[in-house]
Amino acid sequence: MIEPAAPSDGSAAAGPRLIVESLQRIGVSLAAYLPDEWLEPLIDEVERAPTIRGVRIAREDEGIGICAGAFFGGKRTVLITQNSGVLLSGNAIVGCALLHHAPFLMLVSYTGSITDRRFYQINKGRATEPFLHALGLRYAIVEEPAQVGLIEDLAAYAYQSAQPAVALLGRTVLGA
Amino acid sequence: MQQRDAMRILRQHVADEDVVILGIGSPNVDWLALGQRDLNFSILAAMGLAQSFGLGMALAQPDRRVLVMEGDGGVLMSLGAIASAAEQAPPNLRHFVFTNRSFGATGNQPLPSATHLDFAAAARALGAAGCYITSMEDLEGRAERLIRDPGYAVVSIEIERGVLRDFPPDLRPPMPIHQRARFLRAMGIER
Repeated sequence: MIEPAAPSDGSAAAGPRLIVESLQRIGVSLAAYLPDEWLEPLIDEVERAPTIRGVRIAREDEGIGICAGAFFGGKRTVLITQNSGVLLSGNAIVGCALLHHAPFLMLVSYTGSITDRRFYQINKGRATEPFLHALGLRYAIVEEPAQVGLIEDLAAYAYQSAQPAVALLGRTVLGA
Repeated sequence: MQQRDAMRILRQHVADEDVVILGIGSPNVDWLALGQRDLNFSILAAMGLAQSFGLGMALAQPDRRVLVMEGDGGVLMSLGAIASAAEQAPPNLRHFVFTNRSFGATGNQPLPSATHLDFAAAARALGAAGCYITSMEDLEGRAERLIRDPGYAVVSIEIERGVLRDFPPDLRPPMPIHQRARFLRAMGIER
């Protein structure tokens, strides 16, 4: 049995807990995810959420297919991945999610962003936003727990526009 | 065995309420030639994604049978997705892999390691039930149970290389928007 994380009073778990509360208000009932160092606290929180079914995947573009398929089965979903997974999933996004007009949320750890400071992530970070622009996906950068409300705005945008929307999550909000 | 003949045998055991997910290329063309169904869903551009789409559908609709029909090239491209599906093991999901050991839509170029590929063994190695069918007689004898018995399974059906036929008229643009509306309506989902 996993003990609950520390209370949400500015501790490291505050951001992940707020994010999962947002997902529950949005009505997300399925989360597909692949681990990432920064995403572990969020994935732990998702796995503790009784209303969200977690689906572990072997490669990130599987998650695009799972989320699109579940949309056509009437469910709201989220793909949780590092930005490397978004870069890998370009064809799945344009060839499946956008072609078939399947909305869902993507919660993405923004490695290589300006606050990351790990030299080997630099190119990944630099490519991420131009790549999202090229695909025609709307996104918001969420760095602090106070900005988590943007995730519900992104969900509204996704379901109104019938396409995925992306939250780029910084290290602070992820409590990593 | 021709893919269309194999599909004709399977089609006899598909109920009206079953969802059929079609992978890119000839599985779309050959299945749709057997007659339109509102609960067919054609994946048109994302190779290797039909099985993951089917997994999402099967988890979202646990009371409805979901049948994925996909070519072996796409499955090989996304082999790890079998492990993801096997862990979830939705009892309502079946994955039919039409095995001609070639990239049929682009001129039947051989898959890498074409003559050695064993998708049933690969499925078992990834945690799923796998079976391999090589003759019409075997398929006729087992098709009903393969579709109706609960349990996630990967079913590799050995078929001959074919010639990709023209897409039928109802698969021409702007088909994705029409398919979306038709499918959601048939599922009873309000959007």
